[in-house]
Amino acid sequence: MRNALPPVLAALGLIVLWQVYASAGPLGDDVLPPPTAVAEAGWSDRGDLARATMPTVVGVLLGFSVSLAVAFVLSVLLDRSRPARRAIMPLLIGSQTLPIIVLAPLMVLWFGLGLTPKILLVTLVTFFPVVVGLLDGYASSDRDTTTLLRTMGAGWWTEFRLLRLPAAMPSFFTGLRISITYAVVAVIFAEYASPTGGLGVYMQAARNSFRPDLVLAAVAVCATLTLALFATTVAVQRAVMPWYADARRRDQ
Amino acid sequence: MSPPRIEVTDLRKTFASASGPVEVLGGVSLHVDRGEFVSIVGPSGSGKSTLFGLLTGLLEPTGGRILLDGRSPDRSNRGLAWMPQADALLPWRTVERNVALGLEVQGVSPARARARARDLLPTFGLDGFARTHPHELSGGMRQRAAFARTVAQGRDVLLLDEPFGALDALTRTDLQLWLAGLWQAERWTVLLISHDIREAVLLSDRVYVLGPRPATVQAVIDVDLPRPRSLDDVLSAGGVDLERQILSALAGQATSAAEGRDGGGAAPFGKHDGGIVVRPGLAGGGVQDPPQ
Repeated sequence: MRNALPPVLAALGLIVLWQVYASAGPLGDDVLPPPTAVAEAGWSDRGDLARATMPTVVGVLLGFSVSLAVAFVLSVLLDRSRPARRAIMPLLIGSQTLPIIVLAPLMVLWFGLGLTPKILLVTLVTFFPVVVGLLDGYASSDRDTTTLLRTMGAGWWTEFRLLRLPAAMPSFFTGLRISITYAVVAVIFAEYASPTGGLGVYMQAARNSFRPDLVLAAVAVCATLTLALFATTVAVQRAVMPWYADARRRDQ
Repeated sequence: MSPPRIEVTDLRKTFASASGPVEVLGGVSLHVDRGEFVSIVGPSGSGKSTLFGLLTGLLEPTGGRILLDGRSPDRSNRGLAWMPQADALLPWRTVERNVALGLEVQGVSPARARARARDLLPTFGLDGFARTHPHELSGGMRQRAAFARTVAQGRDVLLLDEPFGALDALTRTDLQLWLAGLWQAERWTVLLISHDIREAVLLSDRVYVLGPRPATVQAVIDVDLPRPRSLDDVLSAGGVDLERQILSALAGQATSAAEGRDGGGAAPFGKHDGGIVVRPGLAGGGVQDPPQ
């Protein structure tokens, strides 16, 4: 619990600063509502806010699942074949330069108003750190252990299952933690471009009716979502590799 | 008479490199009989590990012949269990699951492999550590776990690649004596690569001394000390004389490698001899001249 204190204090400090500036500063409450007003507005509109949150959460979870599957398949392919790595890696890097603000409406145009554009956008934005994490992790496999497994008669699959994949877990989770923080934003972009519900649509509607307090309330929900997702990855990492934190602590 | 477990004849290996071919093994011949403990000592980079690569089938020889039990081996499954210098334990596996690794690779179900591994642990002084992860073990225990993993494979021959090289001197001595005792009971067929002359004398029936690149066998020294062996046997006149023979075989190469500087005479002990580390002795006595 003592670990929770510094971040909570830091967040509280920021909120207090915001409160002071919004009440005393040059902008009116209508333009920059103080945190208390945001909380009030969010609470009174909690029904709509919750309804808008659901599609966003579904989009994030589905998109991220597809992203993980794509990242895993790609990483295995790229790890197995050097020509594939040389051919595909530049494309993957290039894919990360696509401006999603421009891409989102196109995706909606190409794939319709359903979940597909959301899933595709989340995948596009989040798969890359996971692929890089997995590839780095495979490559970090101990050479002696690789040789050992070969002398034991291990084929490619056995070596992958017993050594390369588990060895990749630490850097896989590093990639995962980076990409999970992009996931919510990616879904918001998709929702901004298609009027089918979700926090993106909610924010747009709030903005159009000049309700910055509701926009900010939705932003707070997004931030909370991302924090929850991040905490989940950390918890999953602890569950998957309990030895890791312990071994690291001993090394220090 | 049954053929030797390992018979290597005129084995050669040349690697391609950016600066042209590098001849690492220049015709090495040796044999290991069933139940024998044989050591190979030689300077760093003399191709000892290349020799193990060729034996395990991970490398293809450029020339010469390897026979295992009198037959040309298959590419896979050669009946050899390799133990690297670094323990190469998997940090995410418990001790018993690390020891079980080879059995799992052979297709034994993980549960059965683990049970068989657990049965081995007391022999290796790891009773009660089945569920421990490697990072919780001392260096000596990790090495014993790696040793158990080698034996657990149930292969005919153990290939030990400087198994104690990374340990501190006291732990190393402990483990050398422990291995000498264990071998006395189990009588595995062992081929050991060593940097440590006293270790080779303590453990071996026969020692092959390799020269610098391209490596050939410089001397074959039979260790006719009694078994079971203790440090006293190694430090006896006979033991020290064997050490001296091995050293001068190594030192001979060192001088020839240095274009005959020193004239190839009796080189002083402890001089730079082509990468061999001549440590002060196990019991603190250092390498001594035998009584004349």
